[in-house]
Amino acid sequence: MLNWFHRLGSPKSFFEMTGRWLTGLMVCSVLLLVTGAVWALLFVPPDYQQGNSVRIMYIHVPAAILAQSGYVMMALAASVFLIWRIKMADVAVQCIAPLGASITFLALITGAIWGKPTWGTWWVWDARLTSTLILLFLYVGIIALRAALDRRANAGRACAILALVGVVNLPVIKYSVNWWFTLHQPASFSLTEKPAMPVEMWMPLLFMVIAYYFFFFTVWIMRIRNEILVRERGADWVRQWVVAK
Amino acid sequence: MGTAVGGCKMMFDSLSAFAQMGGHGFYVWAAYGVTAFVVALNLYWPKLLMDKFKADEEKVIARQSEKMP
Repeated sequence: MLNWFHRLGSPKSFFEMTGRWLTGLMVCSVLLLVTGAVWALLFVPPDYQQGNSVRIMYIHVPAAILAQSGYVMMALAASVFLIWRIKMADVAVQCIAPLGASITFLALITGAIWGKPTWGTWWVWDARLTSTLILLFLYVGIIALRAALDRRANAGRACAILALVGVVNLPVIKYSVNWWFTLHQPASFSLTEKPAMPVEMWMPLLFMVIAYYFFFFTVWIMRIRNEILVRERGADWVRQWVVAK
Repeated sequence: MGTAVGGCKMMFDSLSAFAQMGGHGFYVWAAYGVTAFVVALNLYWPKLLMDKFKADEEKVIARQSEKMP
């Protein structure tokens, strides 16, 4: 197991290992996402209060979960980079930021679209929504910071530190619905408690969360592979790979 | 309401009912549309970059092998 992690830490081994998984991961993510969407759009019963707009939940909640858990993964990679100076951890931070930003954007936009028929407004400056908007700014800030700094080592360190400082926003997002008065309902889904929804509603939601995770890891790996090629450009193994393809 | 498919009940009787979503069609389809677009872009973008990298490197390698007989 340790050996396995060790191999993931080497760019060349990571590239070779993930090359074997990639097609499978892509097919799985697309199949899971399409199945989940068909399930949510066609077979889930409408909510007795919200009607059919409840179907937006199946793309909004997984996006919101991934936006936050993606940030946790980025912060973990950042701390690995700061403590052990493993370059692959820096690559991981660099490649998750745009992906995390796009998923946070999805959480916000689907939330706004769901908010209009449900709350009567696209946006309110309440704690949950504002702290999620800050999460988007953190992701974008990390992308911009890297683009602004020339030396790769400095850029990596600065981004890692910003990623770790931003972790303070995560408990704010999580507990915002309990700490402040807000339009956003508290979590209807948790690992430890029985869901507040009937099974025909939470089952497809759980399915979609898993599908989003698959999609997230697939894209993350694809981006990491590209970045490895860019950083290792000119190395013998990269040339051999280009010629062999 | 709906037709049964493999033990599951479909929630819409017709295609137009499915499109209208009980008056919420605009919101549901807008949300799913944006999501599909962002998901597809996320999957397509890295592939595009990798193809571009390959093409560029192939040119570099070809140029270098021309110089070295």
